[in-house]
Amino acid sequence: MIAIENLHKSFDGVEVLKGASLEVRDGEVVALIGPSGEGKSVLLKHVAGLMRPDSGRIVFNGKDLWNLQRADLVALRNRFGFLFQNGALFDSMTVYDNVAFPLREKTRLNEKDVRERVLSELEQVGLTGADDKYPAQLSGGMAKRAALARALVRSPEIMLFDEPTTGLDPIIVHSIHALIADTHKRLGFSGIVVSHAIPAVFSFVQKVAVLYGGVIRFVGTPQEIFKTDDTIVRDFIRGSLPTDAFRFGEPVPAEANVQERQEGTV
Amino acid sequence: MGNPADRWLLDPLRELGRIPLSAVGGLGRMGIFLGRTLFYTFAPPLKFFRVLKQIQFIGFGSMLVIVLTGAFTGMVLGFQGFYTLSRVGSTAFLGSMVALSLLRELGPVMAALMVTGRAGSAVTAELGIMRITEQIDELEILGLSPYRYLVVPNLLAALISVPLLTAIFDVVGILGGYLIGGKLLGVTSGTYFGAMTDYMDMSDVLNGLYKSICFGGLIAWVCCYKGFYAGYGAEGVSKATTQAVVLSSVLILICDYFLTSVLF
Repeated sequence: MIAIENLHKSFDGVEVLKGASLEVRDGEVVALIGPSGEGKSVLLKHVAGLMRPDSGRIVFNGKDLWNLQRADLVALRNRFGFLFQNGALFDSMTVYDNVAFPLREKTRLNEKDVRERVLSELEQVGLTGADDKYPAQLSGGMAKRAALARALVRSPEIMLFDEPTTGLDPIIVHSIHALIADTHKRLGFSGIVVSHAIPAVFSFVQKVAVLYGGVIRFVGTPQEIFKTDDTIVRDFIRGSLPTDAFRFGEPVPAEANVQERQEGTV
Repeated sequence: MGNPADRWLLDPLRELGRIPLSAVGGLGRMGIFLGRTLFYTFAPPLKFFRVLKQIQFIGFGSMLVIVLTGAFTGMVLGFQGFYTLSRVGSTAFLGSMVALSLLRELGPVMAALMVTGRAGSAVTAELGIMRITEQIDELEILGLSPYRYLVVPNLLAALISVPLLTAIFDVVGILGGYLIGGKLLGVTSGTYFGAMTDYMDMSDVLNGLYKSICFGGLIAWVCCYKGFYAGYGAEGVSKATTQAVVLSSVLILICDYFLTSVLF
């Protein structure tokens, strides 16, 4: 189980997370939604250990992420998959080498088995025949699917998706959602999906969490969110939240990540 | 804080204090970066093929620029040295003058500056782009150390390549000096090369080598650090690249002064 407990995070005096708490049970996928600039990606990067909270904890099966020994952290990361917003494919490698990279570096599989696994994963994401292409030669949707193949190739137990469908056309959005749903059925991972694809994302998640004003304002099933009495949440999912209401939490400054890197990650 | 008097008084003070704090913080971060890099340099496994690839990029890739700058530096030294020495009737010392200038000073410094401009800037830009496109974060997510994969190979490659490039710079420079002094201005080869062995010893060669090793480490450290912590977008990467080249070049010259004071 993943538990996010009372997370606080500020950048340059702007408090982005103001005590966010959320639980993700084993095998459960949670959609994390909310207005742009509320800190959804920041929250996800905290879960992945790429950012250190000012206060609060990220707990995996009872163990605080920031109190883990280096070896335990590496062991935990071996169970992780993360789909970055822009794919984060290694641009000096082909699609094949990108997907093979985690297997070559983190397993003792021979090259024949690596090839088998990579080609199978590429087939699953519909990229058969694109294995010799470089990331720069791929369309946005293909790059996302290649990144998904790389994230899934080690059969992760925990998957984090940072806006997997942003900027893609509705057909690709649908195919990527179907792909995530299929792989979830196949691998049974626990996961968090940060998404703006409302209500499409509700089709394959077990729970929905709304990040608003730096806190998790709502947690419930996709059915429950449509029945909530919380007008802010209801208006947000219906797309009628006034622009002024977005100012409740200040937008995350663009320099936030840079400052964070300089503080150092796990 | 809402008090206008506080704002007028404290805000400028706060801004003033931010400057040294930021400088000290930056130095601390660079120190931590170096410490982590050294840790992963000695903690196996070493990414041997990545080291070879970077030696090819930093070392072999810089050969042309080193040969060209070495040749012309030696040729200028040949001209200047000949005319200066001819005023006191000591043109016989041209060979030792050219060789000593190159081995002790110009070779290590010029080669390091050339490597900074050609390879150091490229390393910063590459790491910076990897940073802004989250490729470095991806390595972390995979449980792999970006230091081991990206920084250590550059450090080792620079430590190996820069002394070798310096040696090439020195040899080509000496030959360039001979081309001018010997072939153009009439100093015989026996006089030119004989003077070198008479007035130089192994410590001149070794001290130049020590300098170039220090400069190699310095270039890799600064350029990798600046790329690793590049700011956002294309502007962030371009700023990081400029800072890496300027800071490396300045530090090479400062470091050269102190090394010269200690070594010679």
